[in-house]
Amino acid sequence: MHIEVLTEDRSGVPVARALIPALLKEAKSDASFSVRPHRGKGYLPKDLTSRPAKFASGLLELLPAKCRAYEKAGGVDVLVVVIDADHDDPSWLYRSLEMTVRQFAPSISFVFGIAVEEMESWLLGDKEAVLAAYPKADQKVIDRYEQDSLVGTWEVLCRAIYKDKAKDIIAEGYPTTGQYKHEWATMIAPHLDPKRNKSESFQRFRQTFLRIVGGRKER
Amino acid sequence: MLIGLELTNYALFSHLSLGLTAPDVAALDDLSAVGEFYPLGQLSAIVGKNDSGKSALFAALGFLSDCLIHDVPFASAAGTRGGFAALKTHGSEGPMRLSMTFRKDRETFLTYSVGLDSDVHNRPYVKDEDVLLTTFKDGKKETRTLLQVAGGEGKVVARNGEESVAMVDRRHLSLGAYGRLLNYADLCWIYAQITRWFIASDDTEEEPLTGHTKGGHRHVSPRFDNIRNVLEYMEREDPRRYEETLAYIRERVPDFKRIGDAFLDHGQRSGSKRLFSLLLLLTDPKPRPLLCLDYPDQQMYHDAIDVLMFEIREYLRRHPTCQIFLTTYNPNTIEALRPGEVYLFERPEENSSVKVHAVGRSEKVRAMLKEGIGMASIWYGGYFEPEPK
Repeated sequence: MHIEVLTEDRSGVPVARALIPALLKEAKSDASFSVRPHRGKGYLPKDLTSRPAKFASGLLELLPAKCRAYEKAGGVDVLVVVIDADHDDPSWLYRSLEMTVRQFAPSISFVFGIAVEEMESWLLGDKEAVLAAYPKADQKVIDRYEQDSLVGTWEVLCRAIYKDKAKDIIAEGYPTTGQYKHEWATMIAPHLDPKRNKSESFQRFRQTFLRIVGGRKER
Repeated sequence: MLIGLELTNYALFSHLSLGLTAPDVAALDDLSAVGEFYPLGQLSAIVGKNDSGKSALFAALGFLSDCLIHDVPFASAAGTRGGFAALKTHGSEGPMRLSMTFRKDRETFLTYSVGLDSDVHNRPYVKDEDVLLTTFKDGKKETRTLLQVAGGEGKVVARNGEESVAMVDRRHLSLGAYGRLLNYADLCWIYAQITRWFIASDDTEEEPLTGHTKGGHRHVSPRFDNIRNVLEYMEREDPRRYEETLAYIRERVPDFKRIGDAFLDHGQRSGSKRLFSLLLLLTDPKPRPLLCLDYPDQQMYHDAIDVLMFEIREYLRRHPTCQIFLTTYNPNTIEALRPGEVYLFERPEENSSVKVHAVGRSEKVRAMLKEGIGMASIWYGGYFEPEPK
């Protein structure tokens, strides 16, 4: 069995590389998997059947075409998409993803991981992992964070790790913030334990993953 | 056309296999099966992380060419090569082997294989050498040995029959001798192929400068340092063609101002000069059978890269038997390539052997390209790497 994991950006890669093997172990599966980063979330095209724009590189921009390509090429049993909800309504985003995959990759099972508001909520959901990577992190900031709330999640993580210096990083904005996110993800990911993660969106993802991978017959 | 090659115990390649190799020719039943072995085509691009052996491949081809033109000891020490002991893979057992597979025409395959080793004093010598001719005529496959030499002795097939070979020393390749004599037509053909390879890479940086000599040069040198000489030759030989060529190039080099001393004396480093030199190379009316270009797109703005890639395609269309190999890690260049043209070089650990993956083999890559996803995005997503087992 082969699983394709699509992530929005490079910081999703270490997280996926840490979580997927742990989940596969839990599911007692020896499936192979590949992690595919993109350059950002992008937007689903208005016409889902159209070809992507030249140099298109966002996950949602490429999703319909990738689904079609995966369906034609074969060799993909499960498609996992890990994406930040950001300002989108998570259920709307879920339905859009589902519609796209069902339409263009009908033979492929899917699991969507929609982080509320963004991926850092999955990292904050595992406080021990954050502290293992950053022992000097401010625990009070992490404790004060309301899991899966819309508060500017990555800023919370930034303040926990960088404390006073956090506001300088936050002020710099994109693309600097992307570089820091990648750094945190790389440092924290190896310590993640899916079972103790407090993020509800992550637990939903975990349960669906176990169900789909456990239920998918070997081809 | 060079459709395949194998390197054994050369530098960081304990064993490298690219395209349709000698064993593949032996296994080939029918011409229709050639595609299944993914032979090298007119354009091949090598991508990969740093130190994955991309440039080393060009160095190997340059080494073979020098061995043929000169001799093995000279070739081993020339430029920055540092001697045969430095070239042979550290700790390897067995000789260094360089094997090239050519497709002379649709039905004719020639493979040339050389084994090199060194004695207790690290002096290199030719251990063995052979040339095999395989033809498919009316569906019938025939293989003949045209040259077979071991220990300096063997046999060669001439127009009128078989002759014995006895080399005066073990420093020279027999192909170097017989390839210079018209009586050995196929050997001449291979010799002309290999000795006319154009290898532009950092390995050639230390060679004596050709550009500081006066007078006209017919061809652009692999160091790209004789542009002035080439222009001089062209202007004298065929003024009209000279003006046309300059106009053609001027239109295509963005920011082109004029060809003055200032422009020509800038080192190869300048992106505009580089593009100019490459375009000049591509206008050569008697093109080399193979151009090896190491990062031709270095220091080039994306619009210059678009020009370069287009002109490369045009050049290959004009000359259907010519080839270009290039190395790159520029997304703009990769965007202009087809999956079948891309080879990924990987070196999993520092001292491990280089692995080659022909991206054309990936159904996913081909399917995604067909759906309109660009090669650069596909590359970014890691799809050039082989699927996990």
